[in-house]
Amino acid sequence: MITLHADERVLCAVHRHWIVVAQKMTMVVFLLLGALIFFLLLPSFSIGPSLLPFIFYLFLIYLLIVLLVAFVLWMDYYLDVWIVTTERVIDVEQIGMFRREASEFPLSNIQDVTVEIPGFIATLLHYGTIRIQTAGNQSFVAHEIPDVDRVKNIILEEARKHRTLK
Amino acid sequence: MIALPFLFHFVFLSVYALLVFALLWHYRRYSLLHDPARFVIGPFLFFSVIFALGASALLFYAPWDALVSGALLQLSVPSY
Repeated sequence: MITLHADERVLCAVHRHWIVVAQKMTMVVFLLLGALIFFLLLPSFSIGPSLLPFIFYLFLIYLLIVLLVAFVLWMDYYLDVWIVTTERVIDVEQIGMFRREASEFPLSNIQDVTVEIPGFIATLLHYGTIRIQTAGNQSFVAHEIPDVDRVKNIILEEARKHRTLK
Repeated sequence: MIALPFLFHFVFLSVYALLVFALLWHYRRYSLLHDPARFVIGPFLFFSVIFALGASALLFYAPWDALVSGALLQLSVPSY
């Protein structure tokens, strides 16, 4: 849960690019394909009709587990978020099912923002890595950020405003 | 002995339901307000319930006595 200060506004909340969850979901697709292939080949096995309810039962249990795996993968992806507000940048990272790390750094401490587009696919899908260097010599990195130039511009603009106010 | 599959099934469903509840609680607590992707929870719950109900219904149609007896017979017959 993110608690905003008084007069603090969220400028953007950025999740990683959809290609990240698509890559993770290929495993789920293969698991489902395996089950589908098994069902297509089922008539070729000499299985008594009385066993079919048992086989369908096992299939449904398998689907329940695959569904849970898919949801956990999606949750792991979607709860990773970068929130840029008028005062700070909040980096929330979901690790596994229940573990979570959140760090934040004030915009006034930002010294350098670097953007990297790592390759052809990233150029095509318009995502990249954003790296922020703060005055305390800490660096924060976010990978696979969509529309990374827009995020960089927002951060730089707000950091400039903070420096002007000082 | 025949009650064992039913016991395993309902223990499995209980653990599954507990895990799903914990995951959904965590997700609702830590997702952003007005999160547009919250719609994913609906289909996930819908299909989970359908599959769980389907499995529970099939539990009563599977020939557990024959399966359990067959499994016990396999365990007791020595292999050469």
